[in-house]
Amino acid sequence: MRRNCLVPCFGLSLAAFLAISCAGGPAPAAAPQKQRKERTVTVQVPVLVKETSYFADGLVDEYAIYKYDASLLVLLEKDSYDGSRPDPIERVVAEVEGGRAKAESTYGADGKLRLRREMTWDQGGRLLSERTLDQKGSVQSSSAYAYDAAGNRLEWKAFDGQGLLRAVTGYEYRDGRLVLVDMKDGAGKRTGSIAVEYDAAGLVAKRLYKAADGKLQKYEVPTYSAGRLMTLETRLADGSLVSRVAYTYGDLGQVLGSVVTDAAGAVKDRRSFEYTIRQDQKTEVYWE
Amino acid sequence: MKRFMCLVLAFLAMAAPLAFSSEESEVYRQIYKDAGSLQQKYSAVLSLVGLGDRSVAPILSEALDDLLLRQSSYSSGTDKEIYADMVKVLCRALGDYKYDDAASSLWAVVQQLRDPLARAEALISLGKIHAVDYVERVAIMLRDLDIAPGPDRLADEQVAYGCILALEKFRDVRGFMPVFYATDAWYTQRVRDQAERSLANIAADPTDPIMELIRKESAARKLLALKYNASSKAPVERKIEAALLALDVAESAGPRDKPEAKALSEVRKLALRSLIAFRSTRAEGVPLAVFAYSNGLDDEERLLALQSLGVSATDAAATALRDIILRLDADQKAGITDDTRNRMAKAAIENGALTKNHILWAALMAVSSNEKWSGGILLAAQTALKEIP
Repeated sequence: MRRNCLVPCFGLSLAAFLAISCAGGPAPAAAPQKQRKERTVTVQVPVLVKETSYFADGLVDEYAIYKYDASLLVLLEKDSYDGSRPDPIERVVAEVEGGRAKAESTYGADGKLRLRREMTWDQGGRLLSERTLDQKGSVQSSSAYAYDAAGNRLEWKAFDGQGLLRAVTGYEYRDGRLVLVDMKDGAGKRTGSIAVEYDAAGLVAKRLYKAADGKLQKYEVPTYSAGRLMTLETRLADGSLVSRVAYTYGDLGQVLGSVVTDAAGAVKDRRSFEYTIRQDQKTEVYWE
Repeated sequence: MKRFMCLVLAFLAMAAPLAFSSEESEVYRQIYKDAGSLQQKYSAVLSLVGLGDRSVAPILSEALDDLLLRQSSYSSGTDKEIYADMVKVLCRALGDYKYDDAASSLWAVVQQLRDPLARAEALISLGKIHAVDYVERVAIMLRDLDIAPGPDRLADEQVAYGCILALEKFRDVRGFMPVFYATDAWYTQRVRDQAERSLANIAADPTDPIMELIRKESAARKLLALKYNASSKAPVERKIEAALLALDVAESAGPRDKPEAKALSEVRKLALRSLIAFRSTRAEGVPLAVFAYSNGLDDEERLLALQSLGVSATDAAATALRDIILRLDADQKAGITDDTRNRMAKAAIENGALTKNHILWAALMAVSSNEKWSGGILLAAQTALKEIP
């Protein structure tokens, strides 16, 4: 629940938005006699406003309230509350510049700064660098990212608080799809890799986590319904189940709930998500 | 169609981070494993925790165990500070991820560490992961803290705060008593307020500990326990049981002085209000209400006793009201009269009407034919008669 990061919220909102765009947008016809035209349409965008986590018995553990600017486009703050405590047990406050968070500060129940994360972005909205500072303002770690011309992430370098390179992660793509994440330590020695396999529809079919020697450690297997991720199982190399996540969705494609169960089927984490609706004007391309 | 597919893929790409483990978890996991100094480990832990990825919980638990094992290795001031901060971060994250395999490590933090905030975080996380094996131990810890502060008052209060939140999250009735005592213990208002809020969430049916408090505690605490009984989520029958006990206990207790007599009267009034609110029809309530009417400290208590009989509406309650009305009528005929008696007579008649019970017929007839009563009481008796079948 208390993620020191506001980014997942954007993920949910944008995911929902894209789903709606998919549902509402007619397929362009390829016939040469038809003309490309544009029209303005109103789309409903679910914006996450509340996330609640529950104990296994269904009672509320904690909940988080998301606060946005007036346009509901920029997430400004996430306040987490405990069932019986009137004040937030944690606040994550964003500092926004040009519509993007340039920093996020996390405060504890006592109101004191716990952690600060600072980010820089390129003009295309890609994360260029970030650094994490502790409550005393000391840099604890930092990262730098590189991209190709198409905007695909090619490399991630992770540094420690002293600026020493601790890890280099490379990304490989095939037909525009990420197929391999190659992880090395600061000295260039391989520490592991993640191979991504796709099904015929282009959806992720499996993610395989391998050790430095290439031996399979674990893998993740998703299932989909109408293009939506419904479940994700994590299994060890021998196929034994570690955990399973199941999602439910609303009419607008927004995630309404998630349930994590362990190998025995016991609920380990249950969450629900509530939204407000933003009305966006979008230009839609159609062929006539 | 191509455009449609493209957007579907884009959607999935955005949705994926909700579920799939990220390479970041793997990378920071490795950085943690390779870290030599405490500072490096702390940096890696902060990064791991910041990811919000539940799959990293086992390594966080390992990190906590490692810290506990190497506690004595970190003796410098800076290391001690980083150590305590790191323990807090790990405890909090393990609680957030509800990683129950870490229960024994969290309890080890409570027992072995001196830093009160780290101990409090460990306690809260024990509650969050629902490690009910530790309820008894946490309850005993809070019970001891409730009694009196040790040399470090602030530290004890911080640990007590952690105990209260842990016991709330355990949702086990064994946690009720120490949290109840915390509501009026030596702690600052903030902690006492939290105890009060937590108390309401501890058990779906806290009637057993409430009844124990009513039996054993001072009048002031009996009253407090009865207040929690009124607002608890227990079934109404159980709440009635506790209210009847409170009425009984407060009637049989011999007050030592006026303030105690007043306090016991307050207990009886709240017990009677509870019986009225819960519309108790229990037979045991009738003699207790009659006792409260006869021996009540003030008119308010006596009027509440009459009201509880009226709301009960059983034959036994109607018989008790009949006897009260007849006695008052006989006194009136004998010339014994005052404002209090008139007030009681009117209330007894009105509550008698509530019972709609034929048992009251003769008594109401007696009043309505006794011209010595005031017009108001005669009218009340006539109105009541209309209610009696």
